[in-house]
Amino acid sequence: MGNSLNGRTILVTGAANRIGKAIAIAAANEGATIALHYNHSAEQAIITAKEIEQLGSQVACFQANIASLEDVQKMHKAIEEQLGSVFGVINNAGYGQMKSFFDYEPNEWKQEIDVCLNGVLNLAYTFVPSMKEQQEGKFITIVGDSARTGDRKLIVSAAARNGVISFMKSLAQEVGRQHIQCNTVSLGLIDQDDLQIGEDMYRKIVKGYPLQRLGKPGDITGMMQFLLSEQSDWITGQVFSINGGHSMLG
Amino acid sequence: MTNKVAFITGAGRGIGRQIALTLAAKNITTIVSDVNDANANETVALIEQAGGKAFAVYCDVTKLSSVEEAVQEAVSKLGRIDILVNNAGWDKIEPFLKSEPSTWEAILNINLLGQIHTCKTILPLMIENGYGKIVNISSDSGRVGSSGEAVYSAAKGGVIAFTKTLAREMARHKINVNSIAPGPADTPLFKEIGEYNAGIAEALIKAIPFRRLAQPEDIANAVAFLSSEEANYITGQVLSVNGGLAMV
Repeated sequence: MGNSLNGRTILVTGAANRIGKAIAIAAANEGATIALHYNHSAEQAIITAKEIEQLGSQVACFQANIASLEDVQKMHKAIEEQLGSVFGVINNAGYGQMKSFFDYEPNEWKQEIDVCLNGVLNLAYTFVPSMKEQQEGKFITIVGDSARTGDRKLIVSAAARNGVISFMKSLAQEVGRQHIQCNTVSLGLIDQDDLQIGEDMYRKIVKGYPLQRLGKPGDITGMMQFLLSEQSDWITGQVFSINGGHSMLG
Repeated sequence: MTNKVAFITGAGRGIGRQIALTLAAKNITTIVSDVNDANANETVALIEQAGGKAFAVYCDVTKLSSVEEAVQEAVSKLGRIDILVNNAGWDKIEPFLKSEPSTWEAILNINLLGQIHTCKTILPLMIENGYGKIVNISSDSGRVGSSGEAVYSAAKGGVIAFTKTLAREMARHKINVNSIAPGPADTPLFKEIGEYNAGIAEALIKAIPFRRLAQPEDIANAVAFLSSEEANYITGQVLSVNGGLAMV
């Protein structure tokens, strides 16, 4: 257990379970106060919050549909009242469907764009102004490597998240003089014991990963700690893949 | 991360010195290699003053035989090498059409062949140990180009491609190969360049969203992250540490 985030409040979206949960716990382990956001997973959020409390860290849960600016603004107010100003935001929440574009109904793609792209815009619009006032802050977004490479079965969420990458770069330029770092972490396929694929398919997928395994939530937490820490204060506007070598871009 | 051994090239000054200091502060024994013995010894003294462990070795990365001797000396002292940081580099900034073939040769030898030489020599040791972390220092010029640095950017672009291919070949041996691409940094080399390019620092600072040059610590912290266990699933990647100057 470290103390690099002592006294810092970190908001993790979609933190009730899976990757978001792992990131929230890792930040709590570094002494951070956790604002734990969830949308539908109230029960899981409470369980995760209890785990964080047991680590001796302060935590509170906040429900919001991040696709709604009004919801995000309400959440912001509630967090500031309960936990004080937010030092870091980790945009982890997302929503994607796995299917061919031509299997979508007209406008069925809207929700993915609303959550994956507009969600990040809503968070930035709401949370970054107080970071500017504080003259410091970390705004981090998680995307999938599909946003960088394309993926025929993730066509809409990949497009939305590529938009996020561009947004993050422009935002980094906008708020650099206020000492706010804005970076994007791009993930390969993370195995959280809920991949609904057979063993043959699993082996086939793993073949595409030079490190010969899929990712696990623990592979991501170190990068998050690094990007939240002062060790990364000169890093901004970057996209960094954690993907076992699946793609190597730029 | 304790009891690991890191071999760092060009560790006599600038970014390389800071990388050695930062890794040594994490209980990593550092092999401080450089062509300038006096500089290397000074880095070792600084590490020892801070309570760390370090050894200086002479290493001219442009010559495979010199690299082999340096590595042999290091291994005979410490038994193994867990981390390799290819930091040694050099540049002369001038318009390409004014540059001389002898300058190209020096730039390519130090910046690209130097990293090829150390990898060729040290990777077999890492494979034998079943463990290894390589961090190759490239440059933003190798990702986005940079006026006055045509051949340097070609060498650094070569480093990036070399990193990716090595990452693919070495993954089966559990060796991670990544690259840090620094933006302009406040180093002795940069001061040297400033002496014949008036106003370059001011112009760059204006273009950097964080409004300052990199300090060697900024780069060293990123190297420390990529050479740690926290980065075990990261390979073949390039991380720019540049205050937002370029966003690839």
